[in-house]
Amino acid sequence: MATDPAIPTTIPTTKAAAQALLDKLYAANPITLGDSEAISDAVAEVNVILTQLNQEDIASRTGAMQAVAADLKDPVKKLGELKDQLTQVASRVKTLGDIAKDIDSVIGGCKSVFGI
Amino acid sequence: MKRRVGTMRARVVWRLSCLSMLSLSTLSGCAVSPLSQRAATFSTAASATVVKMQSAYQLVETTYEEAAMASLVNQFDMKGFDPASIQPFIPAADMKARTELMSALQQYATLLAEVSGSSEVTELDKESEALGTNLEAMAKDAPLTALAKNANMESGVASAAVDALGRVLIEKRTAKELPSILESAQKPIDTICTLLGQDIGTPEGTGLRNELRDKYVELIADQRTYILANEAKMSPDEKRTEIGKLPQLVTAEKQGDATLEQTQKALQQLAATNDVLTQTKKDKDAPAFRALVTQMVAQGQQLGAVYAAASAASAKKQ
Repeated sequence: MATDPAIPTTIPTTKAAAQALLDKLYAANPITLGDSEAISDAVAEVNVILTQLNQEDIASRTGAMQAVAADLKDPVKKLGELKDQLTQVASRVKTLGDIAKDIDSVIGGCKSVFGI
Repeated sequence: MKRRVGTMRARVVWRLSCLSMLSLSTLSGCAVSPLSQRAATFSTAASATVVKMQSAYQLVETTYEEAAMASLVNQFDMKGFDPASIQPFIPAADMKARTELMSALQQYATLLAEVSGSSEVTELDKESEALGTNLEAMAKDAPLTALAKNANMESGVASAAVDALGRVLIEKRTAKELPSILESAQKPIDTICTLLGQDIGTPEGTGLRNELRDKYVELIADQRTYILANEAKMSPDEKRTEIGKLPQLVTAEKQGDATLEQTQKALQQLAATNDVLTQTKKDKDAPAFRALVTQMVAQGQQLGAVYAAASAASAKKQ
């Protein structure tokens, strides 16, 4: 059986009151077009207030987010420098590889000396 | 001259074989340090959390748009369409700050993964493999076979010894530099997790979860109105389809909220992982690992001396 909620004539502007009204409208179960349209319109109007409050809440953290992103720049820079240092270590191993080729040439030389 | 060269060559092979045998015995089960492991774990978690957070913002924006669309459909005949009314839920300037923040976090996670023993070690493995091939070819050289047998030189161990040297060098450098970097990033990372978690909010309070819930209330109300306004023009199947969307909207809202809640928990877990990671530097390394590193450093130094001697001998001959 459909309910006929009392549609408020004014929309509350505080968060708690607006949210409570939205919950009440959500629980309504209109089965006539007139009632459903009234509920839809009231939901839309309450949501304008609630969305605005959410947007203000989100905006309240934007400055702090910008500040903390700046705080992360130095650790990121130092990580990049550490990465470059580690890359140099790997390239030093390549130098060892070059030495190993020298060993081959030494052995080759010895073979010719000994007539092997 | 001939005797001196032959003695030098035998000494090189003997030292390599002894060194390699020692290295081989200690390399089994060799692993990166606890610090590197935890850094890699944090890095993976941070990257995954950034993706989840981006999806969270997108989910709510999409739902916001759908609610605007549903309202437009029901009210078009009376109110028409105003293009200026189409706006995102989060204004561009606020979203830009969040996008840049997540990008900074992602960059930090990516670099942390790279210094925690992935790309540099892979490159090291390639170089040491090439080196090992040279040495193994030398060991197979027929005239040296007898010498190699006497010195108990096994194929592949020289490559492993060089690899061990390189890994130790990388680990030592990382262990020295990384802790201070992690410490300087600890508070910013914790703050980021807190701020993004507040953005997600709660269903009854504020934030993305509340906005999602409120928009689904609007979507359900508008869908009901749409059915009642148009049912006379619908076929039975069309009416059935439209009525079927009502429970689907209820389910979608629950699933969306569950996803946002998971993302919120991922942020909390990331902050906890970050704290453990920074704490790692204050903990002593496992004694077994410390002993292993000490041993491998000594062997690495020996290997360096052997190669230096071989290089000097080669230069003298030329």
